[in-house]
Amino acid sequence: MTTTTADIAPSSRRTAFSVRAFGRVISDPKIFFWATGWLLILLVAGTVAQASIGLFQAQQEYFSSWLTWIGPIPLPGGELTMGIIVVNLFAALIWRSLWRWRRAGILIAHVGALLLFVGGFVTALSATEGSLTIPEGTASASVRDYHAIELAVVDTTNPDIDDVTAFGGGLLKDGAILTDPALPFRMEVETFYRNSTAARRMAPATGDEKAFNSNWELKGLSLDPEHERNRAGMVVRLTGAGAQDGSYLLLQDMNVPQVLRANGHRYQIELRGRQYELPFTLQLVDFEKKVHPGTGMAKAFKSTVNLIDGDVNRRVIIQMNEPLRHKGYTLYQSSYIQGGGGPETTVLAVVKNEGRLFPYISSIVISIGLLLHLLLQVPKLIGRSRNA
Amino acid sequence: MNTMKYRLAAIALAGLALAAPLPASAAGAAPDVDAFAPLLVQHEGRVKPLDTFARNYLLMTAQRKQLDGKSALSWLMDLTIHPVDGAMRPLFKIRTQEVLDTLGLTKEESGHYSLAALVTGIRGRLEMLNALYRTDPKERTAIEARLVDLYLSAQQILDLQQSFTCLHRVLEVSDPDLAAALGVAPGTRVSYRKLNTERQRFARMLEITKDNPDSPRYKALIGLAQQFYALDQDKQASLMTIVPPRGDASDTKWRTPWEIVTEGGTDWQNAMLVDLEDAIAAYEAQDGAGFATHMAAFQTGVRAHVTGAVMSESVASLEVTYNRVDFFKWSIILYILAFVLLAFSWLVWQKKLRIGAGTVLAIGVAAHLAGVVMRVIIMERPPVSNLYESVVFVGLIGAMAGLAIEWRRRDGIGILIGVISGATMQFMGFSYASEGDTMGMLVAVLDSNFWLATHVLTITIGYGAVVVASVIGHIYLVQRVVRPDDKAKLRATLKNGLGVSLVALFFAVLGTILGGIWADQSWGRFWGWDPKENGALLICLWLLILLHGRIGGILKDLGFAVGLVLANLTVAAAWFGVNLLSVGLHSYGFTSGVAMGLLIFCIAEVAFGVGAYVVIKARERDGVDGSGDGSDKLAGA
Repeated sequence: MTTTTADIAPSSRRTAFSVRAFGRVISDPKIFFWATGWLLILLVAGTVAQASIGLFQAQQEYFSSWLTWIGPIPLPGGELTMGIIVVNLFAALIWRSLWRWRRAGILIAHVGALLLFVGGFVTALSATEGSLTIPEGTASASVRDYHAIELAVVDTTNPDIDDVTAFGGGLLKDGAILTDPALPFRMEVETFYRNSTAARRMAPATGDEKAFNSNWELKGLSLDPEHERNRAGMVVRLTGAGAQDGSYLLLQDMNVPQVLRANGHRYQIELRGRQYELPFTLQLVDFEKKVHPGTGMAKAFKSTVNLIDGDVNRRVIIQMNEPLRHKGYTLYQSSYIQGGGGPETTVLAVVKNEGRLFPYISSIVISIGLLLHLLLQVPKLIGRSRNA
Repeated sequence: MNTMKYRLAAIALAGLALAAPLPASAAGAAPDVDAFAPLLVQHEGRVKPLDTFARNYLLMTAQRKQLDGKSALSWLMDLTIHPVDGAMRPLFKIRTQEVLDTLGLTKEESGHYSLAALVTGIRGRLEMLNALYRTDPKERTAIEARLVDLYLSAQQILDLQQSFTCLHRVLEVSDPDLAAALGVAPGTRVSYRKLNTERQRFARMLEITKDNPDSPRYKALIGLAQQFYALDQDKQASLMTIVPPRGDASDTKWRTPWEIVTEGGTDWQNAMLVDLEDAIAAYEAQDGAGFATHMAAFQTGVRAHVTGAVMSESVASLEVTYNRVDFFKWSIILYILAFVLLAFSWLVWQKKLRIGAGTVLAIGVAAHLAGVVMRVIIMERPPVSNLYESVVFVGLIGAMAGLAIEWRRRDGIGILIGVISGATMQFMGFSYASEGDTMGMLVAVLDSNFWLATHVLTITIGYGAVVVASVIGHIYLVQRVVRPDDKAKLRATLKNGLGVSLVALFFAVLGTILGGIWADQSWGRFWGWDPKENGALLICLWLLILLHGRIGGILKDLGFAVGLVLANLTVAAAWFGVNLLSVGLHSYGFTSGVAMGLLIFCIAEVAFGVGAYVVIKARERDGVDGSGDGSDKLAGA
């Protein structure tokens, strides 16, 4: 016996099977040592970077990326590094585990760690985060995504029905062609900025700029550290809409509707946070904000809502640390809008995450494992010096 | 065996120290202000004993717990009842010459400056101070921040000083009609409050007599009116909110005497002010019995009218006891005493002194624990909910861990570990305590949540365990430099380090995951790479690297020990460093001036770790220490 904490038995046996040899190579604890060391460097760099480029962007660049770039040099990003660690851990469980009672705690803890990573990947692939804004007295089911944006073409010919065709994600980039059988025209993205503003044109428009674009021009801006303040903007060229062909300027959530008529239909094009409908509706009855007496410090926020799902209408209270969970969605009290003449308005965060149970399970597993290991090992390690 | 005798001696010594006189309460007939320390006041969102309130302001201005040998409460009472004398008394502690120069103050031997002097200094520089006040706090230099600080605390002390001026009997009513209306004999001095009850009549009398401006009656009345309106300026005094709210559920704001006088109050509120006014008059007359009677009547009034979840009488008394006994101060004294005994044990009476030191450490831990438990009872919340409490709690964990290790080892190393971690943390805590009430209220998201409470407790225990492991790392390096041949002892120390780092890993990992669960419960995402989360993860990763580095054979004993020393940096970064980034959802700490301390700490730790490594390596190369590093791996247990 050489070490007391080893989860892995050093072995000098040589085997002929190449799979096994390969397994032993990829399960080498040295890989864990160096990969975790690199992850630690990424972690520090990504945290410090948040002060200048903001949380969201730092997360994209350092943690949720396969490669992170320092100038022209590609380095392993957080996702790649964690992938290597997962492979290494998994291989170690298969090829290097000593299935002995002494090692039970350590083995359990490693299984827990793997579960945590698996949960992380499930979450990264499946989770959506958005917000639901409801003014007092009204009802809504329409969630707006925090990060993803979409180019929506809304057919408003029938005043009672909005028929939406939306283009999102990777389609919003310079040169992309956007078509859909439902639309009589096609669109080409001329320029797209993740953060932008519009400036009044100095000289009159020269080409076929339409609507808002004839008096204003799009200016790209550098990304703001506060991700919520970034306002996407694009110039999109329409063809196949007859007289309305031309280039249009769209700013995210602009309040000047860009409307055109084609084929006898009336279309409104919008650049907006991606929207989707919940399978149920919430009606805000009352929003309440409490402060600690004699100070402006918030003590509690509380929204009283009616949860309308089919024929069922029940009263629910959503407040800080007490979210509403319904049909896989979780709704949290996130923010509010008060004053400014309008009604009190609550802003709820809406999250759907298939991986949300993993951390709970893995924390239990890891805790059991580490605790077992502690009980087995620590009494031996905190010993009397004379008997050592 | 003499063990028992020494243990008893040590206890007696500690007991003696604890029996030192409490803040003196005046003997005889002089008014005893301290008897009313549990009186309540609403301050910064919390209803708290007046004693805590007074200590806060004294600590913030004079950076002292007592002034001229008298309690903070007597200082506050004296300031409010004798505002003029109070303004002349040296109070504000100013150390920096540049601050003095800017305010035009001449250096005093004592280092303390009176309110009057400070206000004079401020008056001449209002424009500059207001401009400074409007700047972004992050942009201010240390001097500028101190100036703004002084400017604000001068305003607060002025505010306090005027708290009771409406109750001072300083207005002489010579006019017989007015005196009759007020129900007093002509020539009696009445308070603003009293005269204010006949304000309308007073105004009418002025109106009637003003046609004859030379008449003595008009002159007396107008003189009184001038005094009256001069006092009127004090009505903005807003800090001393000692009158309970009216009692209906919507009204939770306590009132100042001035508010009751000028905005009107209920009958019982007004009756309470009469009691207070009588008490103040008795205080001025140095009538101890009268003061006690009237103050007791006021206190009964408060207790009769507080409603809801307001601090009970016994808890208020407990908080006063907590303030007076100052368990944390005693714990630090005992830790230092334990260290001194331990140091002597290396010279003489090895065993006896070591046992004495262990006993003193144990008493210190008891005092430390008592303080923490009292805070939990007073605040009705878990032991760690702000940065100050986390520092104190880590100290407690460290001292307890040291005690436990000593119980097993019996060679003084555990005492050393406990004393170093306990005392340094308590010293750090003191610097936080001087920044204001350490029992402040919490913003909504940090208040009362099961997951948050467990997360914070676990991660703080993790911090404590890492600190202990790191201290062990330091001790190992020192031992290896000083006594490289004592292999058994070295091995034992490193084994302890390994054991504690396993404990640390358990709590750090659990605490980090619990933090994620709290985040998931509160705003719907388990992990968001928020700086505070990253800080916790940093500790976990560092410990994992160390432990796996040992297993993989990359880190030998020396490398592992240096890694333990540097583990302190990850704790410092997670605990204080992330607050400096000023981003993220839950950076709860107050951080001005921390940056420099943190930097010095990090440089010192790196220098220590790397320095020891280089020295030991160089020595081994020269063959002084024959054993190669690789050969002294831990023997399996």
